[in-house]
This record gives sequence, structure tokens and C-alpha cells, in this order.
Amino acid sequence: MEPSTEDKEKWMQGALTLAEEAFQVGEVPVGCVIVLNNSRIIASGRNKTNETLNGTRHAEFEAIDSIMSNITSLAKEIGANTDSVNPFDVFSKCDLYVTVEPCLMCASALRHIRIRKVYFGCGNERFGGCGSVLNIHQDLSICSVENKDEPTYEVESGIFKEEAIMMLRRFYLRENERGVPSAPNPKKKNNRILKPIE
Amino acid sequence: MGKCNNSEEVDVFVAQIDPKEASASLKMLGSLFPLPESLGHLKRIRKDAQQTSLLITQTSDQITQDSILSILENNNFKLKDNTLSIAKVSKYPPVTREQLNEWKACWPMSFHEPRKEAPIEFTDSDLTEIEGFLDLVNTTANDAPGSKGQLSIAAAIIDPKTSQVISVCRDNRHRHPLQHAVMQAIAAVAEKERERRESKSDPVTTRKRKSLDSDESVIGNAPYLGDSEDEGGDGYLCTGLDAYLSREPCAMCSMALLHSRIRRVFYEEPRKDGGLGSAYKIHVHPNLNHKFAAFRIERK
Repeated sequence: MEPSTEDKEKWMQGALTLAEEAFQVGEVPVGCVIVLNNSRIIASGRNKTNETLNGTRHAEFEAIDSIMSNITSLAKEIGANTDSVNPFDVFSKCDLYVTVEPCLMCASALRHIRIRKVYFGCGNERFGGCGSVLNIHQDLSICSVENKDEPTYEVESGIFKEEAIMMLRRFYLRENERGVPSAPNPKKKNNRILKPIE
Repeated sequence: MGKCNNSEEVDVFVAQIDPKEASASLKMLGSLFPLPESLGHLKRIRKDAQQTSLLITQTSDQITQDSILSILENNNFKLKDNTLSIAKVSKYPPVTREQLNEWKACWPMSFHEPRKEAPIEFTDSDLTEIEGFLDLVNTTANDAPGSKGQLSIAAAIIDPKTSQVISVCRDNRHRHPLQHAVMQAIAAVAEKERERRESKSDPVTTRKRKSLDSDESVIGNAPYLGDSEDEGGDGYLCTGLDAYLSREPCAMCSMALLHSRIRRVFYEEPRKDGGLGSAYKIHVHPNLNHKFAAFRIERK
């Protein structure tokens, strides 16, 4: 069942709060929440690549790992078999709300876990795997017969898009002013200004 | 217009505009006369003290000056005077800084400093070493008994300068759908680096320094073994490191290697859903911000 606009905005607001938290600690401001059956947030995450020194610790991975550490009780909650827990029973009832389009890595990870649907705020021209650079979310050539093993998933974009973009702009502007790089050795970009959304 | 000293040039139409119109004009030009990919190295605009010129389009038999002017006029394009002139520009992108400096005299171009390429020709001793690391990976992959349901897949990350094995991990997706061998191996490199930093720095100052403005050597994103300090590494986790995999990585793992700025990847078994040689060619994708060399190793 499709969530109402009100619901979608409520969940994305949660993702934005996480992105803001990332901004506050100097991480690239991307946040996400995972919602079970459109009823409640069962996990949230934000970018942690600087803190962990690991460039793969994107918000999505943080949230998915938090679900995996709690998978037995979540399986129980949805009435799935708890003798041998199958995480896909849980993930296939989950939607992801993330402020920025998942990168290729995360787009592929979301196929692996069999997410139900992905909602994102703004696109990601540089890394996006759900339409911008590649269409990993819909690529039938990488799944096994009948689309069962790693099913494709639908995406919907644009929920609080402006807020997500402005947060990224504020972040890169600040990095520029402080001289604290987001990339270890960034190219000089002295002409950055905070552009309003057109 | 300056002279290119360039053996191969092409003719393009250029027009003068008011500098205030530049940004609006550029936007419109991109949709009216998109540049072919082969001329993607050319800047669309040239500014100097006297004038601002736009590169409109390449000259050809199919299009006349008048037809271009009428297209521009119909789109309310504001030229300074209603004429076009012809300029010679470099047909090819510069591959060295010297070429850029020489050729940009006729028209400005973008230039991408070539990365120091990892060697792609191997000596016999290189090949012996590569096979040795693949043997290590295969041994790890097939390590009996493993836990129930564990797949025979493994990954190793190696420092080629010292031939040191930094991490070698077996696949764990039977317990966690995202703990593929590559992800495990990258996480293990990060873990080692965090430990190294903790042991290196005085614990008291470390705690004090855990703020945004702290010393880069404490929380910055420096590469394994502090390469950035002495060898000019660019500060990402796997800069200068090689990965050895029992099979071609999926898209997730390929992009994880790219995010970590791996130098080279060697794998044995190709996969139809593979992110490198097979489905996506992520290691050389033109839109992504890092490229690495990938090799599929066939053994007799």
C-alpha cells in the first residue's frame, strides 16, 4: 500500500534530522531511515566515513547494520519464522527514505537486501545508482530468473529535495571556508557561494 | 586569436556577447547547439580583457552562418553584433600540460592531469607474486570447514610496495547479506588504520583533539600507514593498494573499492552480474571520480 504524502514527508523529515546530525559532526550530510510496513522507523543512519576512516560507511549501511543486529526480534514482530531467521522476510517489508539518491554501492546493496521501495530527496549526479549514473535499481540483467533473487525496486524522488540540496551546499561551503577538506586533498574551489534554489 | 602550433585543428563559429549575458547564453547554447563528445575538451566561452566570445558550433557543409544566426535570433539569443566569425581550435584534448599551454592560445580547453598509471605490463616475478596472492585468496575461500552455508569467496588487500598482506577475509553473506568478502576486507583495513592511529598518538592529546579542527594525523582521512606524510598519497584509505579477489566483485563491492581509491584489482572467476569486466565496468566509468586498473587472471 502506497504511503500518503503526509507519511512520506514525515519519514523523510526523520532522514533530514540524521543528515543534520552528520552536518554537525563534519560528515557529508546524508541521512536515512528505514520504515517497516509504513508503520514505524526501525532503523536510521547517517554518513560515518570520516569517523570510521572507511569510505563505505554510508548512511544506508549504518541503518541496514542496525537492523541486522536486531533481526531476530524484528522477524518475530512480523510473524516470520524465527527458528532460522531470514533477513529478507524483514527487508522485503521495508522502505528506505534517504535524503540523497543512493550511490552505486548502496543501490546495489539495496538489491542484495531486497528492499521494497526507495524514496530519496535529491539526485546524485556524481555517484547515483538509481538513475543518475547507472540504473542499478531496475537492471534485470543482474538478477536471477523471475526477478526473485535480487528483485528490482521502485524509486520515488523529490521529497524535500530542496532541503537535501541546501544541506549539501551548506556543507561544502563550510568546508571551503574552514579549509577542512571533505575529501582528503580537495581541489581548490574558492569561488563557492551559497546559491539559493532556483 | 593566438596561434595553436597544433597540427590538427578544426574550424568553429564564434560570436561576441555582452559578459552579463554569459551565464544565460551558455545555458541556452547547451541545448541549441550541444557540442559533440569529441569536442568535449573545448570550453564554451573565452573571456579576455577586450571581449567575451562564445563557441557556437563546429563549421560544416550542413549549416550556414545565416541559419545559425536565425536560430539564435528565434531564441532571443543576444549577440553583441549580429555576426559570426570562424576560429581554429584544437581538435584533440591536450594530454600533457605543455600541450595545454601551447594549444590554449587559440581557444581555452579543460585539462585532466593524467593519473600516474599503475603498471599494466608484468614481469615474470610480478606474475609469480600475483599468483601467490591469488593462491592465498583461494586458500582462504576454501578454508575447511567454514561455517554452515558459508560461500567459498575471499578477498585480500595488499600493499604492493612491501608485499604486505593488510587484510584477507572470507565472505560472510550467509550471516549478513552485505558482508561480502570485499566489504569485509575494506573494513579490516580501516580497523587496522584506526588502531594504528590510536597507538601512535598520546591518548591524552587524542581525546583533546577529537574536534573538527583537530590535527589531521589524528582524525583526518589519511591512508594506510600514513602514506600522505611521506609519499604524497592522496589520503584515501586504499590509495596505492591492490585487491585480490577469488571472483569478480558485484556492483556494490566494485563501487566500495572505488570509494576507497584502490589502485589495482585482480580477480579470477568472472560473474555475469560483475561490476568490473562484465556488467558495469565501474573501474573505468567516465562519470565516476576515480579509475583503477582491473585484471581478470586466467590460469592453466
